[in-house]
Amino acid sequence: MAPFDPELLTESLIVLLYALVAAVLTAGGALAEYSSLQQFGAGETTVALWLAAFGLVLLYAGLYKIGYERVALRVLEARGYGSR
Amino acid sequence: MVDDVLLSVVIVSLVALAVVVSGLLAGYSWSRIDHPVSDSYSLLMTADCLWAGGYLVMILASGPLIEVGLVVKATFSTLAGVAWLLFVSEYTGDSEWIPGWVWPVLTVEAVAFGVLVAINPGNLVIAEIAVGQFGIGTFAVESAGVLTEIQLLLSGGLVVVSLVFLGRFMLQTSSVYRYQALIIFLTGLVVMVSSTLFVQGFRIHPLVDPTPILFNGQAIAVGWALYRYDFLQLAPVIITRFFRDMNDPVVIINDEFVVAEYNRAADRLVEGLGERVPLTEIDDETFTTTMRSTLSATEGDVEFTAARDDGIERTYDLEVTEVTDQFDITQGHIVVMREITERKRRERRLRKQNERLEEFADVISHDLRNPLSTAMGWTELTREELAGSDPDRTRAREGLEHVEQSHERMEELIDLLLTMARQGQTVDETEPVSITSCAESAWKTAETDGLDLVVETDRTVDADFSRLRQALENLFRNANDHGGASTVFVTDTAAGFAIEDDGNGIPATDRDSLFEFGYTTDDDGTGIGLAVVKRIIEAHGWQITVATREGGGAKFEIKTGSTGLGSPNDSRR
Repeated sequence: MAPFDPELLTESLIVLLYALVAAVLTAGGALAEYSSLQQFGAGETTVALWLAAFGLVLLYAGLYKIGYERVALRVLEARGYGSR
Repeated sequence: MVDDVLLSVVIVSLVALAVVVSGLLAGYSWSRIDHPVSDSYSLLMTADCLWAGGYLVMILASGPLIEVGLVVKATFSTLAGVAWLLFVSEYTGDSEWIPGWVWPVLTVEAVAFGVLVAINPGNLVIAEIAVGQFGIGTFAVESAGVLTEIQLLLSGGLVVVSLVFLGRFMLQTSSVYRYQALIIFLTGLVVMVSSTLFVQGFRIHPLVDPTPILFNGQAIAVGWALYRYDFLQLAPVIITRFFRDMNDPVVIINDEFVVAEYNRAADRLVEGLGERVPLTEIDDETFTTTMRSTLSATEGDVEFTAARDDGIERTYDLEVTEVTDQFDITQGHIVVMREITERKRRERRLRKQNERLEEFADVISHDLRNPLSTAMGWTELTREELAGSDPDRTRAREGLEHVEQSHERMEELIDLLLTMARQGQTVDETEPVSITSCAESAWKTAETDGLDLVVETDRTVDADFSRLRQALENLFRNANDHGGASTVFVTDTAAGFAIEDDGNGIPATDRDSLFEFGYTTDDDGTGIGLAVVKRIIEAHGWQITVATREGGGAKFEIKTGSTGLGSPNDSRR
């Protein structure tokens, strides 16, 4: 078993927090897209477009900016793939 | 550097101004707590005030006070984000569906973040505090650690959510609130963008954090929109919903006779109604002409009849209110359509009933006058007879007998009238009455020559015997006079009992008015019999309906409901 490393612990905690934020943002984005579809079905096209656009922003932030750039890259780096 | 001095003075003054103004606004909106969204706006202003206050300490103080200012600033900037979302969600009405636990959770999270800032474990929250000479003094500014970055993402997320609410509200509200919401939305967007830029490192000066000033400026602008123009005597969402969902159709027409606004009820009522549609282009011709005459006419009483989606014709009374501006110039008209279908129907029914009452009075006076004139005639003859020198006693007695007969007839008629008036009174004392014995007793006096009575029920009801007997008697007489029947049946039904006959039955057209006072299909009838029946039945708290008997004939069903005692073979008794 590896010796206890506080830096590793904080690092994993931070990745975990980022993952949480990414999950929340992605869920929010998905929710926005879903209600966009609902609004579209109800004939409220402008509101639907509005929600769709915001949903896309949230999905971009959640999946790419945080999910990929902050979480996935760090995890990959930590496993030793990133450095090569 | 002169520029730096100027800039630093401006910044310090702006932050100080933000503290003072947001503090005043917090107090002011708290004093107007009756005003909608005032409480959450007051919370927002308090958080803003302390946020800017913390920053003011950071840029004016030195030494350990800088850290205190930083903790205050970090805590209350986070709380300001929460208060902002609370304020916006109450403004747009979205707070209705947001679960209550969200707010305490977010508040606790913000306070926890403040504690983290104070401890700053491993410099994860605050990477460093840069202190440097800037213009008139030493400014301090922090650079965000990774945890602050995460917190900013969360706070930013709240602002994004608020923008979604505001945007949707703006698009769905078709009123003055749209512009107010637009102002709030735009200020929110400006703050969002500038905060992002600040975090990303784009700064007007490396030692300056403009976000507290911006956020305050925004909140103050919003407060100005809320209170200066007093748009919100009620939360906009309430007015919007009230207008949208009210039952009376409302159409607002501008001075160029173009539809400015309308609600759902109006949309359902009028075909082809739309915003910015000129009156002349609406498909519904009746509506267009009615509106035209309403708006041009000086008298207010204009009626409009139309069929709604459900196909039922409804009549509306149009009430027009002129909308004028501060110069008393007409800007448009609000047309409220009040449904008066029921009133119209009642008016018609009342008119008919009045007509029938008049006819009835005619019948009565006619019928009374006949025997009266007969009696008067015989009285005159008898007097002449007796005035002679040799009165014939037998003829005089005969004359008096005629007078007596006429009086009897008149008494009968008066009795009928009294019955009519009395039977409407409610029944006070009841006893268990066997339908069979009551029907047989009524049969004896009903003058039903040649008809047979068949009783097929052993039900007992709670009733006033003599009055029920009167009702049955009238029903039997009705079968005898109008039915062409040979047998009358008294039968049992699920909810009471029924009087049926095997005659011609009652035409459907007569059924509605059958029980009305003075209604008769017979030239000799008084139109009292069945009206009396209905009054007696209803005085018992029962109901009477008329139907067709299986195989033809009339069927009067009497629903005694729970007041009946049920039949004797009922297992509960």
